[in-house]
Amino acid sequence: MEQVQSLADFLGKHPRTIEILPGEIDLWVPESISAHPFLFAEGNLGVPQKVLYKAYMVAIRAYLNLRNESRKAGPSLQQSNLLDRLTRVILLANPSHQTALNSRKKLIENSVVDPCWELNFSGSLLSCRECTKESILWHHRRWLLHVIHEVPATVGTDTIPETIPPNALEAEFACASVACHLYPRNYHAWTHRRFCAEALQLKVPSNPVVLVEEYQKTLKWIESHISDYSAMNYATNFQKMLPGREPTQELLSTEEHVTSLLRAFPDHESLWMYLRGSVTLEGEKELLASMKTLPSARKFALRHMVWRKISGGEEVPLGSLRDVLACDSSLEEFEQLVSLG
Amino acid sequence: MASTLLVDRHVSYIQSLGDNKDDLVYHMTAHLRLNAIYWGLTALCIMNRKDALDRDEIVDFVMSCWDEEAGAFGSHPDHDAHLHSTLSAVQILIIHDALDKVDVPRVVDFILSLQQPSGVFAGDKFGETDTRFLYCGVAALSLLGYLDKLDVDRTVSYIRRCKNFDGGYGNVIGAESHAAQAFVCVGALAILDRLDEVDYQALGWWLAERQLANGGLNGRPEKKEDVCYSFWVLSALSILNKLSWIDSEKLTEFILSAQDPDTGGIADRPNNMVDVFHTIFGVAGLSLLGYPGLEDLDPVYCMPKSITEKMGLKKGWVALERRKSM
Amino acid sequence: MKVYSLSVILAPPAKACTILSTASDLSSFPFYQRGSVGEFVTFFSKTIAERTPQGQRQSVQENAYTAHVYNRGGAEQLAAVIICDHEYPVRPAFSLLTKLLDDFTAKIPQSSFGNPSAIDFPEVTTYLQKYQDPRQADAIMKVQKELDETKIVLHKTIESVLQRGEKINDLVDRSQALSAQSKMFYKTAKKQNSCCLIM
Repeated sequence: MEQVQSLADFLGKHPRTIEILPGEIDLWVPESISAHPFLFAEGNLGVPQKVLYKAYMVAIRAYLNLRNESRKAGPSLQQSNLLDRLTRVILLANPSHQTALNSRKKLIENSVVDPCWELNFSGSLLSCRECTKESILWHHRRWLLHVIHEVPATVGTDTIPETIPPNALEAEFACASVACHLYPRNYHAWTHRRFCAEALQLKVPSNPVVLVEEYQKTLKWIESHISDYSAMNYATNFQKMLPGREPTQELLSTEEHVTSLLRAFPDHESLWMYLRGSVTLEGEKELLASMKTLPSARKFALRHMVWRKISGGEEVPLGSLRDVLACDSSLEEFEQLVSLG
Repeated sequence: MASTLLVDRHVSYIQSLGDNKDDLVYHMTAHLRLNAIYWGLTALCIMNRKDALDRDEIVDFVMSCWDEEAGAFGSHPDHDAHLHSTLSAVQILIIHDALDKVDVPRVVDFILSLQQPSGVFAGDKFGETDTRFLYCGVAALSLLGYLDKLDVDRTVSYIRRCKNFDGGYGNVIGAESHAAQAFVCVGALAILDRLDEVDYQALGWWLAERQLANGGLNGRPEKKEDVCYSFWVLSALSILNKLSWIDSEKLTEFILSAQDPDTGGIADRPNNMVDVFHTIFGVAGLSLLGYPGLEDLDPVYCMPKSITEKMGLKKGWVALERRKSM
Repeated sequence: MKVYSLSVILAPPAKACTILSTASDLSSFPFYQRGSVGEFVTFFSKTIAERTPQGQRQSVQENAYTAHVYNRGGAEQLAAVIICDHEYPVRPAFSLLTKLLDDFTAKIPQSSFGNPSAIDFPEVTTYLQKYQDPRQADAIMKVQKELDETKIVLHKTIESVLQRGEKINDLVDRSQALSAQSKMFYKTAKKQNSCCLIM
């Protein structure tokens, strides 16, 4: 229990990042030097995995007992404080433990835990690679934002509240962006970012510049993450939110963006999917023709043409579909498909 | 590497899952316990070994997960009720013909209380929304025989708003197309007899493009192959009657190669750790691919077809014809 | 798309390699992993440079990394290694290695190879930054049309470049340059089993 308390203390310091370190404690922390088995430097918390799992087993048993004891009368203040500390440890070790997260929500509803404090705590958890994939942690943030920034009636709506002030919204974007770095193609982080974008759009009249900035940031991200279709999907949808919806000269459209990227990197499926979402038939003809001599790109170009036909309502024979998928199509077939398109 | 389905091994693997209630793995996965029992039981049914787990023990466990305050099921006796574990409870009780133990109208109230004004469902009273939960709500209402209480148009309109230009579906409006979301959205539309909403050709092509050179399927472009997509992708394709669009032989080989011949069970891909989640979805995929000796799986409910047929819930999906031998 | 490290290596045949000049950017790794990744990148660079015959180019994938090596040999007996992620394209990587070796031999006399710490070659850091975007390599690529990509062997695992009887786990275990922590990171990265548990 001592280590559970000690870890709960560290988690309460709102570490900038949290890492779960493989192996035993003595690999990381020489026993003689430290009173506790954790690393904490420049705001970064390191937790040896075996220590974490031992603490989890202690915490989970104490938590389940406490839940049963306090079921009828509700937890006393002392029990609530212990619940707070136990669930911090449980969630770091097992971030998909929904019931433990629900306990924290109840502690906030009962004013035992401050929602702003909790938002910081959730930011720490989401800086830990193993936690970033958990949809419930992302929802927890949206729930907290409603508690913090809205009248209680809308708590429970799964959005980012319109009333969120700009700096708090910026923090949400930052949190999602850290997770996208830590865990590439992180579905729920991009979904959260999309919720942020919707809240941002509602603020457009007061500040269109931030919208353009976020769009440009995304295009830049794509340029250095060319297999990140999650980002491309986000960019295509984001473009529709831009003021006036007319990309200006300084502002690249996704169509121009994907065309230039595909010329440089023709063998990434994600970019070809990005193309499907961005470009019209006319806009892509020349690009496709230029892929003729690139064997690694030809297969994607063919798949692209099948998609064009299919989404245009044309029937493509099963044999051709299978050939294209198996990459068995000849150069002649390629030319035929592309020119027909 | 195994070239046939190691049924006996998988049966003993599933039987062993309830052992060691004190260990770390048990406590790390307790929040999925009821789901895991549903996955294990369904896999056993598809392999014709339903009796390998004791019926009464399972039914008692399911009932011990009842959350009296919420009027629904959590995933483990000490856990809060959730729509996902509630669907698993309903599925298990139907497989074991034990629905009479449950206060069905209360469960129906719980499910309906989670539908949001937009038509999507929340997973529990705290409000996380996702098309996954929409499917759980629709499937559970249908299995309980209360679909007439559902606002179908509102439900369908949310799915419609989650459809992307590529024909695929995301977990919320504007989210990236994902193979698991194709299953939940197409499955829900099938249950609601609203498949007219689906873009058969575009979605079929997007799903077929999930197959990689090694035969395995991924869930999104440029992601790794994973056995569980054998179910998410194939279920949607069989509902669209387009299973012929993928190479079934290569996929069968891939699923079989992810078995662990020593411990039993199937992993996400060869040489990784097995788990019951990938075991059911590997077996489910093989059933839809017509693998010999397996029972038919209903891809809409991910339950034995014999059951959904008897309940009058079977829809017009098409699996590959069951082969006599490999 | 990320270049993690760039190294010029003295690679005499059948002898141990020496790193003459190197730069790395490990800022994208988590705080407590950076030291280990740094050690591993050095270990990886030397291990494959030693196992690439003179005059050859090859690529090796290991976990999340791809290493490209060009052992130019010649009078200087120099090799160059770039370690990047799997997204970074092959052609610009090799163009960069050739340019790096050209510039290095033009500026650093062979006589100073004996004392690597005294070698002053800041260009390696400049290149590491500039070529994070491989499109920057377009210009130098045009000069190097002779590079035939099909002749470059891509090894899907580091095992396949090792000599008979060698095992990567043994090499890692025996290495004095890797700390116990780095060895542990290496082992767990191998075992990592990413599941797609969505429902």
